[in-house]
Amino acid sequence: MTEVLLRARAGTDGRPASIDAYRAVGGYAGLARALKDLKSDELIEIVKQSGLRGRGGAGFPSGMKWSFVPRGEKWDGGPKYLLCNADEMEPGTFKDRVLFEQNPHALIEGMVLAAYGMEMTEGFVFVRREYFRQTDDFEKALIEARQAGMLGQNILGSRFSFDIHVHRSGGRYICGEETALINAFEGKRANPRSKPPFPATKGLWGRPTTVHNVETLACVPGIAANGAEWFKNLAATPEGAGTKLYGGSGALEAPKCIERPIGTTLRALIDEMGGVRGGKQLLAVIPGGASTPFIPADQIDVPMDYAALEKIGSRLGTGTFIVFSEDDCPVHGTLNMQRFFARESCGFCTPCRDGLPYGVEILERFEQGRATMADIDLLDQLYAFIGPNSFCALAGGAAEPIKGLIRHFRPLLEEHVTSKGCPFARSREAVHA
Amino acid sequence: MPEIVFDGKKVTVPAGTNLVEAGGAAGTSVPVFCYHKDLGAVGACRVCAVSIKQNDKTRMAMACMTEAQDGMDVTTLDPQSRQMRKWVTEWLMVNHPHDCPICDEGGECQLQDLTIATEHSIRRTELKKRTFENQYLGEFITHEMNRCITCYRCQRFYQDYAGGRDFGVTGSRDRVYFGRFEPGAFESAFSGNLVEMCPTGVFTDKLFRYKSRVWDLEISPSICPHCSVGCNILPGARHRMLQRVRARENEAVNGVFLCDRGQFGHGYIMDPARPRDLRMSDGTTDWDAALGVTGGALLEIARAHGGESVALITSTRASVETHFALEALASGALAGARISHFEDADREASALASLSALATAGAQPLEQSDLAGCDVLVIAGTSLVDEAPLAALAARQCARRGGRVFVVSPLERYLGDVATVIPTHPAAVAGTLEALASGTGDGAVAAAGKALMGAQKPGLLLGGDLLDGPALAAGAALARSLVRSHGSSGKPVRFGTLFPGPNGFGAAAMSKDAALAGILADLEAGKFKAAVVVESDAAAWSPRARQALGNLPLLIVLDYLPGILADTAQCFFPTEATYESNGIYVNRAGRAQGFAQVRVPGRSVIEEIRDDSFRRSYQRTPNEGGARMAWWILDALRKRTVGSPEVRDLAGIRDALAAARPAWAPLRAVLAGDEGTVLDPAAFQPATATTPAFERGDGLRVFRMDRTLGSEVLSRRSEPMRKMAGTPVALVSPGDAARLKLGGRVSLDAGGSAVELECRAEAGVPDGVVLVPRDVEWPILPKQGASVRVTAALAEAAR
Repeated sequence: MTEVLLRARAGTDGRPASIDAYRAVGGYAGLARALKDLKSDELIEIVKQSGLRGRGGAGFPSGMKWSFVPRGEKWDGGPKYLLCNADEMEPGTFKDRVLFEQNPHALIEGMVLAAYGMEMTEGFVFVRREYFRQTDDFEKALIEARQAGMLGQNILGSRFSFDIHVHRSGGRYICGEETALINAFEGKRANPRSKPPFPATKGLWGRPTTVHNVETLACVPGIAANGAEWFKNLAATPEGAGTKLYGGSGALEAPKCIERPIGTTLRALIDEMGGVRGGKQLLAVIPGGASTPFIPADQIDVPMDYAALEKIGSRLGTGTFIVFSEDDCPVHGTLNMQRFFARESCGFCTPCRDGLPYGVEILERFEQGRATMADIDLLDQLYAFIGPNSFCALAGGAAEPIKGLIRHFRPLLEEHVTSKGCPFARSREAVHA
Repeated sequence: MPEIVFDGKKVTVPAGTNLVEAGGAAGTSVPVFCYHKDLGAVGACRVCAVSIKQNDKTRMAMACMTEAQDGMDVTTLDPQSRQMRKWVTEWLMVNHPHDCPICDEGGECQLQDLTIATEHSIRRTELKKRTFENQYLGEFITHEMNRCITCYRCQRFYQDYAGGRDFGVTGSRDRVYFGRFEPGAFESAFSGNLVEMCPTGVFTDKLFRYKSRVWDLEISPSICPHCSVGCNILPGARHRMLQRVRARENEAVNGVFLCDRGQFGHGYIMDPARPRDLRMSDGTTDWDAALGVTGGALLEIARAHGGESVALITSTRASVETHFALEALASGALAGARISHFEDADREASALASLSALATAGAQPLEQSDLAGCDVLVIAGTSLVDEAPLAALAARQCARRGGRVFVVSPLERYLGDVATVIPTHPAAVAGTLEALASGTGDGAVAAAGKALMGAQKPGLLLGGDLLDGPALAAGAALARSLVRSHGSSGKPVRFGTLFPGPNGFGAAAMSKDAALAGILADLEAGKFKAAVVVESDAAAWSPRARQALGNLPLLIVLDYLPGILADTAQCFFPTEATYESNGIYVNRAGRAQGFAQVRVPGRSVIEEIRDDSFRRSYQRTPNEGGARMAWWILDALRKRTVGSPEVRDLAGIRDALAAARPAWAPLRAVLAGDEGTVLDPAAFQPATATTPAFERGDGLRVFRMDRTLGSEVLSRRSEPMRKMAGTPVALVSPGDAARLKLGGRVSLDAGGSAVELECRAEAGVPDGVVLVPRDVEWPILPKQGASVRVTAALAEAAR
């Protein structure tokens, strides 16, 4: 099994891989090569060729993102910022934490490489507040990297200088939205900004800024060291590129986070995690965090990759899936997620602020046996207007599981109406608890 | 210039126009909550969603966030847009309370309008409405957060537009809260605009609470009488009471904004202490008889002692028509009567000098809209937010739009965060302005001079209270030199000054000379046999002049305020205040603006029936009380003295003014409610007046100045205004405070005239200066810049 992101791992003492351990498995070779042999344009081209796409949820091609930042002639010479989004708050998602805990130098090297490619001057890591222990360890890793000349002035003796600072977030889901993250960074309310201007031209403190997810950045060292073709070939499918940290949670025998070639089928991943807990029947899976639509049990042979999941009406998202067994009510699961989205709304725009609690209330009617058949359509219409008409993607993400719920589980919703409540005993207990 | 189709109508709009404005141009009023033309677009409320067909694709977008592009076919009428508006209404009504019956916003509530328009009538969610705790925000504004629809307009106005720091937004999700860190009075001088900014009823006028439905108000266009900016307003009356004042839009003057002094300073109108009855020492109660008796007495004195034995005095709060009617009285037997158009001799001299400076500078007028449009703006000799609040708000917009603002003043407490402040002793303002003109000086002065010279659109605004004669002269010289240097390349140079009162410009333009000092000296010396004092007051007179009033054989007073003049007069005629009369004020930039009667004077229905229950119908004219417009009374007296054929109407008196003084002819075209007409100061051949230089000797010098709330003569009579203003505080420099151990209560002694008040050190105030609010009453008013001794007050010293 090829492990790239996690090729160095925490030791028996529970501390993350040291810089020496990381270098022993080829760490920082990519940086050395890039600084010695590659111009920034060439590095960007390689990243473009590699097919790397953002691992934070939206899946935007990374090389293209890099190319939006003004460089060379177009750069005014002022500061440009690289932000690492480590505000991992998508429900069910715990992959960036694993990288932090196991192999922080992959992130550091990735950030230095990205900064080199985009000719950036300063880097910041915006970390979820719950990851305080991991952040302490990450700060130690930064010191190691500086001492080894991988970070700071004249990295590896080159003319390139770049340093990374850590920002511990106050913690809100909305901080995962890149412009809200930038506002939070500036000490403002974490409300998203309107685009344009895009962060690439006007981001943090009005300067060109790129925001990347932890895992995306950690993919870069391998690409820099081994080239675009190598990265593409890591994938399980011809159209994919790289490996992916897949996390599984919910009704699994052995929930965990593992690195596998991107495009590995959902069935294979579930099997690797010991199958459905207690030998129960699989009912459905949410493939990539709360803002991705359900996949019913009969579609789990789908490769876990961007295009394949979109083809069946879902999304890869963060690639960390939640498994529902025959005992778990998808309506209740959706209600739980909608409560999360309504609570995490920043309150800026009307559909998200006031529409999401409205949705929660409708779902509660189903779970509590007060719903009518007309409420299914009400739910459908409500989210059809919330999703596309909100200011940012938060409410659009909230609408996704509702779409999946109605598409795949309409009969189940109807059953909630006819049986005046949730047919799943376990959920009913939870609702009335 | 993109051409688009909006709701089927073709329009061409300037590039960069958003679709809300483009819709307006096509005749569609796109519903909005968060969008406001002065606050910009943020895309929060989502109610302005429209369908846009472009390149054979149709999409829904927010009109406020979308710029018109050539070939767009935009509609608000398709099912998608309609449905979206329905949803937004339903979402907002999830939490908005159904308290419309007791909400003061009812009838002018944008949310109410949209709820009606989208026919939202059935609540489909069972969510419990969220509730908030409201805050005490002072005497002017009521807070009702449950009504909030989270459009952010209040925060964007208060913080971004007006620069306030004590109000903002907290919380998240459906519990976003707009308020202060803790309950307390708003600190901003512009808080009243929240009433207008809020599309629903979160912020309502406390003085208007539960007084009337807005559609029952009798309204007329009027002009704010509380400073020389001349903001356009729309007061409303009901039950023969003035109920509230709102801003009326005039882009050249106040936009859609007002200051708190203007919005909440109207308590003097319904003040129970206001003298509202004709009062003759011989007991006459009939108006016609009283006018006959008074005219006869005046005529007798004039015949016996000559016209010069009569003094005629009015003030900067009287209308142009009143000024002219007073002047017109001085003919026939009264020819030679001595006239002053001012209530304060110092302010008379400085107003005349200001008008003369404007007339000779050759620059363009510096109107409010120009203040915001300058690329370099220099403000000198004033604490602008205290003297003319809306001018300060406009100056802030200048800075927000990228203009550079410099302030040369001993005190700047509003623009400090956006302007370069050059703290300057009032006696040194002249020197600084000279340095700007000659390009000498260093630091900020050099920067300001350099910026002015390089400006594309330079502006210079000179103050009133803290500007002496030499500073005015230096400012005028600076304006002239800018006109010389910029005029050849066609760059407009804008130059303005502040004036006292709402009609200081008009009073100065009407004046032949600065006469008040001489008149008061002769009054003290007993040289007058009669005086007619019209809507003026004696607060700035010497005690001896005030005493001399009692010895006058005939004192005729016309006014709507109580005071020593009204009390002493043998013949007192109650007059109609601004909101009760028709007339014209000329604002500080020479803009003549008309105002029309909002309410009839006299006792309110509630006073009459001694019952405050809600009355459905009432007669519009009162049974008792009553007043007339001052110019009408003067014209009636003229009929009985000079013997003119008849009492004129408003048009008649304006025609007569135009005939007597052609420079005033443009007034004949001014209608209340229009945008006004700008008069050319040069047309008036203003009288020259010499105003002395402030001294800067050893020791402390006292300077009287306005404060935003509490010092202006009309508004300070209202109770909530007094509460919000607090007690006056003398300001000194931190250096002087430390050196002289000042703080707490102090005694100020200016040559035997002493007052006691609180004293505070204020950063930025230069050494040697004591700034005292104008509303502090002195036994004898000290001259500006008089030497003053400051000591800890006795009680304080004993402690």
